[in-house]
Amino acid sequence: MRISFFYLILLFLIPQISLAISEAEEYEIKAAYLFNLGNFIKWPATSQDSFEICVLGQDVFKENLDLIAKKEKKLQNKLVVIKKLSSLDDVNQCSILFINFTEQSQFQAAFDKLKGKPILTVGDTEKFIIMGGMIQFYLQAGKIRLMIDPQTLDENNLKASSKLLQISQRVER
Amino acid sequence: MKFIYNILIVISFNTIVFASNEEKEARLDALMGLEIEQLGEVEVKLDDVFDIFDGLVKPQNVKVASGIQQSTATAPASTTVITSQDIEATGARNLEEILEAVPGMHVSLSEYRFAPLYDVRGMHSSTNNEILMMVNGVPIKSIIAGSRGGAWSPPPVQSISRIEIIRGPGSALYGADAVSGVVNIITKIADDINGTEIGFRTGSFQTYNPWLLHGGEHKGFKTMLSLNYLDTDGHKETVYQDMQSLLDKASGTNVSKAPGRTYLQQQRLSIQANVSKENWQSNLYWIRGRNIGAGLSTTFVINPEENHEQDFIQADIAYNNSQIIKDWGINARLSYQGADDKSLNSYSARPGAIRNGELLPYGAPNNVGYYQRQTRLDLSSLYRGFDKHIIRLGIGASYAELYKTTWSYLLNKQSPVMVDVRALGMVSIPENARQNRYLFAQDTWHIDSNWELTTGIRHDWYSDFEGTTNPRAALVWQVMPSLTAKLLYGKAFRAPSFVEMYLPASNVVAAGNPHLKAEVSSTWEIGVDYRLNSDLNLALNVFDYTVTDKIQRTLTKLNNFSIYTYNNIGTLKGSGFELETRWKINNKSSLLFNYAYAKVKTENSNEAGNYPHHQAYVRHDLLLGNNWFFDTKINWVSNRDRPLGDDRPLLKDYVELDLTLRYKNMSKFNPWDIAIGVRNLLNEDRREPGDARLIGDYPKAGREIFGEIRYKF
Repeated sequence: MRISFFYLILLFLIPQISLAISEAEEYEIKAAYLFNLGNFIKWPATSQDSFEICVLGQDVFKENLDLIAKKEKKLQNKLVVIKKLSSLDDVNQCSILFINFTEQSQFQAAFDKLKGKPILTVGDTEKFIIMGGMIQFYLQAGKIRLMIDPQTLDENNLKASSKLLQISQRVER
Repeated sequence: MKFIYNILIVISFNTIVFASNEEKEARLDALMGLEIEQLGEVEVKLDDVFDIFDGLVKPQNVKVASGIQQSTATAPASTTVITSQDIEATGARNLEEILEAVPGMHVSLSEYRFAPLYDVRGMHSSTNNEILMMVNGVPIKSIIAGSRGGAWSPPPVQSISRIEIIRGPGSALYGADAVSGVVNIITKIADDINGTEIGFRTGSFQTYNPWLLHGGEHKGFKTMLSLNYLDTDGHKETVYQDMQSLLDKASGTNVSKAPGRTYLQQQRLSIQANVSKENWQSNLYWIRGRNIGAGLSTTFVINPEENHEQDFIQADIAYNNSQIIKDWGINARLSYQGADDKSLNSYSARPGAIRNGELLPYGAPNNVGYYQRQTRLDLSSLYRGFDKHIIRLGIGASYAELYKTTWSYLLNKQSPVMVDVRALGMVSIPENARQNRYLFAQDTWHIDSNWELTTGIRHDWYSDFEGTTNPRAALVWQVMPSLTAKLLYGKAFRAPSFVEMYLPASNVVAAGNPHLKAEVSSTWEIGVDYRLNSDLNLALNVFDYTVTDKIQRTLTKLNNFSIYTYNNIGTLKGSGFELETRWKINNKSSLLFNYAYAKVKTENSNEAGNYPHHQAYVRHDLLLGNNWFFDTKINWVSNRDRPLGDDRPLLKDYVELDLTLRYKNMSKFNPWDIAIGVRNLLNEDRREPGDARLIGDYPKAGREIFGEIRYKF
């Protein structure tokens, strides 16, 4: 009886442990990445006292970022603020900006405007980096990986840590 | 026993875990506990990759409504988008099955081949020339009948990337024949395939359908290639009467093949290619059809010997640049279409028939051929320089030509010698050409963050009938982020076909009228789109349209024989609504439901008939375990009246029940994708309105099964 009870507990635990780590929704994983990136990029010093993670365009993250922000309150020693933006005019305070447009021409306009600003641009649209973005999520064998263009980061006074460069695929425009 | 008990516990536990929101937080916590390099090892959940459950309910973008990408909720038309995921999930094998899902669309049948008629909002005609079908933006139009033509067949389902549909008028943007709707089939490009897929489908009626699909980059060119071969006997449902039956009745003979099966066999090979580099892209679509059975043919007679040889080619080259100079984008496309259709042994009377008192020992066979080619140039430009306006301008021209129309028959009905009667100055339909030029302008005015007004106008000139101008306006109001309302108005026209204008009376079936004008329509619509939450979307569209100068085929007595003629005499007034629900029930199931009501009257408030007043469509998708997808579709067609003067008994309502089970192992990236399915599981006798002179109407297939296997590498 005792053995069977133990066995049952084990059965309860196994799926939970393995599931939570081995499998998650696409935008849960991407949200976790977005937060993590805050630890692997060096931004120029500012007087701003919050660390803004912004989403511009269609909001694909839904509540994921907010749920993480509830627990992970700080990045770079600053209070994390999640912002869902509808216009390019509001991006100036963002440290990380996830861009999700439907049209290529909108991306062009955005990258033109962001040129020279220390804002880490992240996206998962095809050609995101080619169009001028910095970090692009891509799907490989059912897993989400990163592409990075260090030169674009450099042009915007951002620096990626060696660890980030190591785990990402480098792309040049 | 204990083992089963444990399994049950694990299953129920997993279900609870998946369903609860706390689990989401737990997952996020776990993810945040990982190192950044470990994040790259977490697998994306299956349904996210296949995306049918989210895909069904998430906001869709559509381009067909204005030429600009917009969400279906705010687009200035009533639109539907069907993606390759929808096609795969439902196991659709052809365009008919796909489009049955569109609210307010009903797939009916024509005489020739029992080819599909895509009737929208109760607009029914035997040629179906009031709907505009396009492949990658190029209209598919036979100038002979105004339909899509027998030589064309839709791109194979596996090579379709998405289909965008306007229910309602589209002439202000697309010109002729966009009266009841516009269907734009967008085919896959290299990036949609990314590798090679080989597949094979087989099923009832000796159907064999192998294919190959490839997408990749070769020497800097993104290249897509699709090969598809279809060989089928077609269904053999009973047709109760044909024109020969009527002739038999009048003359006391018994040579008709009706009641009996019709002949719907076909062998079709198609090749499709897309090549692109930077701003340039080129498409090719080639189809060869052989041994094509004719259904009731153009003569309304069942002919087992009749077969068609058909060839079709479409080629285009396009240049697209969204920013050619500051704020200006441009699209240019040159396209060519060639089609030929030869019918052999098309009997208008069977051997042994007696017609006009003469015994026809060899019957009255015809061999008829048509060749047509069309060249068109379309240019359009998008200007984004104004603060609140997006301007779109377009200009274009086309030249369509019907040439080499061949015709031979037994000049002396007592001797079996086919004579090419062109030498005698006789034609089935005269060779002819049609030129069209057009201009359009469209303004999308972003009044403020909640209001948008789209206005547009297009003028079309034609070489052989009077030109027409078609305006449209759409006011879209974002009431709340989750609620959109729109008011739409549009005019549209349909061009008279060569058959309607030029068919010579000697043809016996019908006589053309060269004085025809375009058929015109005006439509009002109100649309509401409500996103209750991220998992539930409701949409309602109410419409009211009037078609005037409708070109109608009416029976006239000519030399003791009834013959059809064409005139701009009809009026149609249609109204109704479409209700659509898309619901992601949970991570493992989703439900799509739509219901459409239509009421269409002719000029004297008589029922126009031949369309369903009520139709409903239900689609349920379910993920079983990790790799099995189960799709159920129900299509209910109800309450079809007969038009005035057609006293046959009413058509029976029917329910089509389709099931598809698919194995697709996404997590391990297993290259196999296997499906089995059954269509019309209840084996309903589904009839579509047939020619008013014949009893029994036209049959759709009975129960069918199929299997499909794909391997991707």
